[in-house]
Amino acid sequence: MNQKVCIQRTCISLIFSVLYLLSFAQARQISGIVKDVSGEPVIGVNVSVKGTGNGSITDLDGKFTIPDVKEKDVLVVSYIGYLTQSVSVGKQTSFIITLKEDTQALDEVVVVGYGVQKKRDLSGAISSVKSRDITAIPTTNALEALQGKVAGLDLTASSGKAGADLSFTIRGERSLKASNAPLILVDGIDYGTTLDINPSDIESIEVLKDASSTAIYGTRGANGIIIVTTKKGKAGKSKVSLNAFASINMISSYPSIMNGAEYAQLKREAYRNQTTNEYLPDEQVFTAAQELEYVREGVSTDYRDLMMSNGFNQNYELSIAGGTEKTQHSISLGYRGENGLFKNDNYKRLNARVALDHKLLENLKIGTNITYTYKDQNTRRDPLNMCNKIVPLSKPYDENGEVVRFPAPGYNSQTNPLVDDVDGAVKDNTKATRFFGSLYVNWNITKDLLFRTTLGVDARNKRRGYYCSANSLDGEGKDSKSLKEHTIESGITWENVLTYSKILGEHDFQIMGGTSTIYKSKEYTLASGKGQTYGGNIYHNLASNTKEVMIDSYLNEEKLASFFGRVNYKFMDRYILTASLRADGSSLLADGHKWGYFPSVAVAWRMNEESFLKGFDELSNLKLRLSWGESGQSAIDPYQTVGLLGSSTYSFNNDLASGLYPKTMSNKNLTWETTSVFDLGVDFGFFNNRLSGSVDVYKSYTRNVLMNRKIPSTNGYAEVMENIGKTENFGIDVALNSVNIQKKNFTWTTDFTLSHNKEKIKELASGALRDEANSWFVGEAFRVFYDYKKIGIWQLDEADEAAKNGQKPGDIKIQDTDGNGEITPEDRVVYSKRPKVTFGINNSFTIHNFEFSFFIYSRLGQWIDYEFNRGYKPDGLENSSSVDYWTPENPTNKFPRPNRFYGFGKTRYSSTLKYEKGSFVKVRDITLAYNVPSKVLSGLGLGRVRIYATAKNFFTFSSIDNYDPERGGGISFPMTKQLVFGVNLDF
Amino acid sequence: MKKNIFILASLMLTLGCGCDSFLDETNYSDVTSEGGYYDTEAGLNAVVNACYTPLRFWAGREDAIGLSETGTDIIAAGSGCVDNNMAAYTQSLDGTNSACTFYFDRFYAAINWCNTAISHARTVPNPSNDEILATTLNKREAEARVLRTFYYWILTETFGDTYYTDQPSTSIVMNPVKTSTDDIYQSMFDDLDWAIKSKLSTLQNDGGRVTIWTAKALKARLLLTRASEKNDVDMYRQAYDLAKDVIENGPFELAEDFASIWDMKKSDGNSNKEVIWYVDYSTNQLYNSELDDKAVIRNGGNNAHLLFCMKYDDQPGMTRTAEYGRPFNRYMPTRYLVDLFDEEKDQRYAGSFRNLWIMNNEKGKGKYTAMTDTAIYIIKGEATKAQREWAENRYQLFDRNDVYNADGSTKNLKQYLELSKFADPTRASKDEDRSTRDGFMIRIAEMYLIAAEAGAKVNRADALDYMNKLRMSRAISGYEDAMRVELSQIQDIDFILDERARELAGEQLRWFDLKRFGKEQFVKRIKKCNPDAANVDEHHWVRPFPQTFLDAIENKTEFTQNTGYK
Repeated sequence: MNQKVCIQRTCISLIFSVLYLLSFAQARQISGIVKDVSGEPVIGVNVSVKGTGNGSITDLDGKFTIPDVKEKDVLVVSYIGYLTQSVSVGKQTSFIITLKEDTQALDEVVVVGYGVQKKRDLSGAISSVKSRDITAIPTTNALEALQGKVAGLDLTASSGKAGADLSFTIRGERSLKASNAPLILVDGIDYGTTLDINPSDIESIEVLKDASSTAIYGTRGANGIIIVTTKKGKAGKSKVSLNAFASINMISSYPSIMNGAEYAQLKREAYRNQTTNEYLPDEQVFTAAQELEYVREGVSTDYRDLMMSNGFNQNYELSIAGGTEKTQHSISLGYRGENGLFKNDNYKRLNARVALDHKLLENLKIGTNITYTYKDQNTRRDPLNMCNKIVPLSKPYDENGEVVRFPAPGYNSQTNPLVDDVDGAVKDNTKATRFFGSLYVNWNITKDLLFRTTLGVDARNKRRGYYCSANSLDGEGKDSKSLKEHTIESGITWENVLTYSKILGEHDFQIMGGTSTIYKSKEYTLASGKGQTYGGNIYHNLASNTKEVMIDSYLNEEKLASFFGRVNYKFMDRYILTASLRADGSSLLADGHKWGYFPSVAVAWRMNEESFLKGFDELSNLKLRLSWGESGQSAIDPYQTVGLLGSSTYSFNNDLASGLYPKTMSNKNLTWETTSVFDLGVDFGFFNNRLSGSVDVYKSYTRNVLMNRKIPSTNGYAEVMENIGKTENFGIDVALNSVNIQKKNFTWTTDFTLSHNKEKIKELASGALRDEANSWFVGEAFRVFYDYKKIGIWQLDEADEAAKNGQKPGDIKIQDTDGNGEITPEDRVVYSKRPKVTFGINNSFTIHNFEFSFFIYSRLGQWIDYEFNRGYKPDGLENSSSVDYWTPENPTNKFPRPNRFYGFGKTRYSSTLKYEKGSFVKVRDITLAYNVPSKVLSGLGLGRVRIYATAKNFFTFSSIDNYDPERGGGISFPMTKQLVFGVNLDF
Repeated sequence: MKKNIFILASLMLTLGCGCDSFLDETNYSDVTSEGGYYDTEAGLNAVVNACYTPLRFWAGREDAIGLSETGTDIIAAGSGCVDNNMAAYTQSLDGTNSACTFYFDRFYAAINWCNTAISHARTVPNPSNDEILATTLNKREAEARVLRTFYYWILTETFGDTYYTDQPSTSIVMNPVKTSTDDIYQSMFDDLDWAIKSKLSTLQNDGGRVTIWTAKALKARLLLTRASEKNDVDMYRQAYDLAKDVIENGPFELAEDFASIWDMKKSDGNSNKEVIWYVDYSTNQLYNSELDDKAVIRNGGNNAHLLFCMKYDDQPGMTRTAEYGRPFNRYMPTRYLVDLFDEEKDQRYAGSFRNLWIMNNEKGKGKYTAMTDTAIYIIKGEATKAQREWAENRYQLFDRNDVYNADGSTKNLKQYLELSKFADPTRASKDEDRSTRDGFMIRIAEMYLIAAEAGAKVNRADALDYMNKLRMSRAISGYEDAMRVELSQIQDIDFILDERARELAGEQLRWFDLKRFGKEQFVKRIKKCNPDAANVDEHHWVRPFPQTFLDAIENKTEFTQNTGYK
């Protein structure tokens, strides 16, 4: 039956098509020239006949010719950066078309919470990044494209591991314990913290920064919102585009460790008599005979060299979009493959997406957007930790080329990290699938009244299998271990929004109301054991484990119910008012504290519309914005309000005696953490918006800060989750966009963002000014180090002074901060972990068909805990970071004297050595691209071909040698620099 | 149209899940403290089981041995020692010391669990007055009281005057106050008295549970500690009485062969007649986890075998084996300790130390080309010229002058007479760090020592008999009479401490033993016997409070750091 209808319909439409084609009988050829405002001909302008595939692209002289054009036809002239014009053909055969610059960028539509708005009507602080910028540089995580492009967004890459995550905050951190990560919404639905959809599937990313924009998300809004909108199909001919790139990943820089000779010298120094300064004979330092032999032979092995090699990434994204007036589609496929710097560190991702929109009735539209993702990742224990400490006086392979487990003579606990590279030694594999789909119905009940309901389903399934042989690092030479972990996460979101819009004369209203219901759950199962019978089974035969067989499972559930509403009001197109309110109820919080209310209000004034500014032609836009709003968060783990019991193990007469002990103190008063934000902003544009930008000044106050507070351990608990204290953030966000030069064959644009944020603790629960146990100090940032300050090393001529503090030359010299003549815990100082300023500058040049751009990114003023410094081994028991240490002959002020009795941790004040200023400026991307001339392409049936090469992370400037401070201090999985080659194809 | 909007609005309200029950939380994954779980028999058993777990942080663990044995007259730091600050009383021994912090935090948590157990033992309903249930509840309360005493004992001996509470934590105390050691002792004695009168098991041991004998023996130990510090005759008398009670009425026996006490075959406290109370380490390693399915310290199990093991495995002719152990060489005996033994007469020398390593790596003989069996031989005294010549290319010979300097300080921190009481050649592999050896916390020999020492103070006629009985059972066959001592000797503090060293070296008691005769004696003896720890000062008689704790409290001027520490 259905089939029959289909065939009938097909026949009918075929007939119509033929008739339609016949109507072109009276066609003729037209030609013309396209010029810009200054009268210069413009090359590469797309001129097409509306509603047909007919068209042309202007040549070097700006000329075009189109055959078969009818009188009734309309020409569509489009070019990036200029307004799209429609020209009726009529009887004319020759055209001179002047392009008009797109000064109406302000009419650009911006996605806001539960709706869209014209950029000109915005009253909140929202940054928007469009698809062109997202795909301009090669990224696999689209959010990376926002780095340095959105003022106020601080985004850093966490490591050079394959598939590594990014960490980011918007306008600093407010919360001490609860999460500071912004909420990421994909088409309105919570996506989690890792954005793993294809960058080329993204239409736009909006970053909602101020509370008037985020308050509509209530308890999920405090950290800012990132709204990702995916592409939808458009009516018209199907467009196919392909994005592909491949990159080579190299270690950007890595701080050095000691070689054999340097280590041997360190050990001699460690064994040297600290009073008489006499060296021990080598026989007594290198007590293992073979070790001494190796010292004499000059053996030195660099394990890092043996284990690291260049990585390789590849990424392909293919999308097809198009449709009819009734039904539009967008279909895409993506593949990403990454090989990290080490063996068995790789990542594969496949995803597929289908978006369909269909007009069911004239006033009823339905649509769906479904993404399916498959990930397959092999990961590994960081071998660098072992590489950095294994004594280089060692030979990693025996005569037969086999890996030696304990290659360093005399060190039977320093395992050769290469044991993990032996085939079959370790397998740590995660396979994850994700179904992320939403379905919506849009019902235009009347012209002014729109109802929209959205149902989102997120289903994630993750399996981790782990096997290590007894001979691997983790096996510790004892037993094989195997385990399987299974996690099922699901999220269901249902939202209903009713919007009423009306224009009455000079009054423009929009009223929106809605409900939202969110349910999330996570189920976890683990099975593990040791001593598997046959290693080749890896983690697929757990029952064959002979020892320590274990199981575990849990379920976490979270529920959120909400009501919200918003009013937008505009008067005379220049006075704008927005007000919203949301009520959120969360299952995470204690009874009686579950519901929270989050209001916001904002006003904006489009000053350039005022008559008193009409005379200033240079001014193309000026808008003042002032907003206030409150948003909250309950981003804590479930079940915090009740006291939990922890499980304990004991045995009586060898038999299991399981126990349950009081693990957490219950807190019946846990409530929302609430942030209120004042934001004063100005948007401006000059010279037809060739220079545009915005400046926002904001101040936010957070109350009922959720803290896991360390309490005196005499309570029997180390910490308790509480709502205590107040914090404050003050900041400035500046964004500037400038078209410096715009000529026919040469353009130069500069985008600049700068953010400053100062965090402060305003008040602590107890009313105290300092909480040393938690390193919280009123007036200081939240995340600080609190420790003594090293001012050097005690030198030989300061022996008497050092002795006053029980120290001697070669020891760490500490600042007597309070100047009372002795070093006491009161002398500790605060080091802020937060940057004072971050900025990004992007310069792009277009010269004929070439594009060249470079992006500079910087974070300034933050302290980091530099793991490399902690790698100094004053006792010479392990290999050491290559540092400048004190000896009587080398009176440095950097690192203390080696002493075999004191490892790093036991060296007095050693923790002061680890702090380094983490400021850096880096050239993050340098891109050179070539757009193949359209003349060449049109013959091939291609719309656009862009070939590019990008160098990422090649230049970093900081005060730390051979290290990229963006990594944040850690030295495992070092940051990589990448050389990327790619192509964008449209046809 | 209006109707439409009305329907829609009501629909949205209903769909919006306005009902509050939607927001209720049910925790399927954990047991919560609410809902009365602890007020059931199963719940009470569970929390009492948990009260035992922190014992595993103490028995046979590195930091615990650091706190209880290093920096004493008998144990010095080996080359692998990671806390030389503790071992040598350096200036860096301050509030940041990780061992002090760990035990302070963990034992106060353990005390809160005990307090919770004790309070719930009274609230488990027993409506039908079931006698079996009543007995169980009584036993569990007594167990928790004894465990609480043990944790408080270590805390107050380690830190001096400190916080005391016998109530479970329900609200946060930010201003803890110090309770005097005297008062804490009084509370501990009250707990032990309660336990002694309870229905605790009277078996030799109850699979490692606290028994009536544990309560009595622990009280004897605490009484002796307090009596010697206060020179309190009444407490000596009570200590004597209790020790005698345990010896005479308990099911314990002195082993005829000292070495057999440490034989892995006897490593289960249950099967060892010497053992009054032990911390159980299971033969199933999975049961040796600690909290939340993890080992808090190292990999779980008893670690003592690692710590005293000397560095033999990189020496000519040797390679690592399960038999000789995994050498962490953290702790080594002082020269004073090895000199205390008369190896001709006393079994305890051979029973406590290893001095011979047999070649197990023929390929790695190095310059000892004539090596056939012996690879390393360590002698207590000075090697003769003949001995040296014989050893020349046969094996490595270390004598007292190779291991120690003339003043008795340590010289070779890697090769020394190894305290081998805790060695475990039965581990599954040479690198296995978890031993299943139970941690013997109180042995019957200690009761003999208490009966002798306390008895002598209160002129009990049989005091000397107890000492001689112990010594004679430790004699090498044929030297029983030669081991006898005189009354004057057991009245001498130095003899008592020497004898306790011979018997109990390494058993996590020494530091507490040294301090019970007061600060002066404490400092004098350490300086004399352990020159490596000559930096010791009277303020070291207690340890520094954790800086993290002092940072967290609000009454910083009231609850201050112990004098002398930063």
